[in-house]
Amino acid sequence: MRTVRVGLPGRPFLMPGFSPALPAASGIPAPMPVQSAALSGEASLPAAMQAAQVGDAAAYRALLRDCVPVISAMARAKGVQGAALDDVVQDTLLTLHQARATYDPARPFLPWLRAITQRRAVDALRRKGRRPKEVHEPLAYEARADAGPMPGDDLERRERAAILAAAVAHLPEGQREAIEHIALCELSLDETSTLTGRTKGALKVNFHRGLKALRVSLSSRKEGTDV
Amino acid sequence: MPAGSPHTRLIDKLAGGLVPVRPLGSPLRRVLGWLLVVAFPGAGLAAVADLRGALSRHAADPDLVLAAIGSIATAVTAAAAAILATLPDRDPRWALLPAPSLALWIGTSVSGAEHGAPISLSEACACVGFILGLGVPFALLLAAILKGGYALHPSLSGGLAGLAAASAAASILGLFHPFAMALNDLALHALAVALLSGAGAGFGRRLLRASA
Repeated sequence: MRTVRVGLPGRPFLMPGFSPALPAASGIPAPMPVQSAALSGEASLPAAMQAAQVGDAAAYRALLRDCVPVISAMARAKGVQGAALDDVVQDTLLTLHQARATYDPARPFLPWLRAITQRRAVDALRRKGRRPKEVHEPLAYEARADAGPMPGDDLERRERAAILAAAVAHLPEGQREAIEHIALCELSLDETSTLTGRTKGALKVNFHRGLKALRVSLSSRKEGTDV
Repeated sequence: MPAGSPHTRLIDKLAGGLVPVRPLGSPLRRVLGWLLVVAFPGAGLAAVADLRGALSRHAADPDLVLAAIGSIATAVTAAAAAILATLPDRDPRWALLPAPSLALWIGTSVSGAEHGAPISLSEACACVGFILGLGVPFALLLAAILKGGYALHPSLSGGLAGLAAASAAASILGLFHPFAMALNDLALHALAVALLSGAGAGFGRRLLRASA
């Protein structure tokens, strides 16, 4: 997605001697390491940043645009490749924006930019290192248990539903209504109160008594089936 | 760079919302500002301290003098290193600036405390309370100064700020320390300094990153 400019003639703030590397996606290796030596165009960078500090948006926009290939080359020299390069460029631009008050116009601009870029490149490399990597391991793939339903799961679920329905049917009417409407049909207390004509307080009491009775009935049934 | 590329959009957004910022003052001026503010309570406490007694104790024990010089130098250099660490283009090795004075402080304190009789736990705890009680506001003040910068290594900056604050508090404590140095006392002093530095490193990540 990145355009490539080598040499960058006519750019107001970029160093003529600086040659940003080509993107890794193009398959062309980085032509040269990042140079920070005193380059003739570098003198304008502090002035541009100083203008940005006092709120000159046009100078700032031009400076940031010229910084993109420089940041890209610096990050690539640090070992960042591929899509991560764009992330580093954007992170660095954001950091540059947030840290612009820390730039001292009396000092060269490139070391300041390089320190920020290198830090963001290291962050990106760490993030990449933490990300799980895909590995080719056919045996592990074949031996991995399927997380889907097992055969017989449906039958078991139906049996459980039938046992629960039978247990609920044996409850006294008030408790049964409370359990059916509130727990099984997931109605609110207000809705259940309207449907059954019982007060909310009575419904709460019946609901808790019903739950208690169900717990006793189902646990005794489970104990009876255990061998 | 294509007009609609993410970089162009970001640049347009950043430039569109650009507001003027005031460049930070020189690191030296900011360090001196912190030291000046720290010196006020120091001078106030010195006024109520038994200075004559403190001077006679220091005159009798050269290790005590060297330890005091070490702690004061650590406060100054750690504050300078913390402030320099919030300037992205400064060499990260500035963080080692307090190392020599810290070594002097620890070395002379240990050699001076080797022969001292252990002091009571309550007295030693009072020293810890003094360092923490005075060190925390000093550290918060320095953190407020650091928030103007941009810490690429916020934990480091915060840790150095904590060290500076603890050293400054320990230096002032020397005026109120009526007993000879002892190893248990020294261990608790070290614990207080380590606590403040550790807390600075821990909170630095949050406070200084938030400022970034």
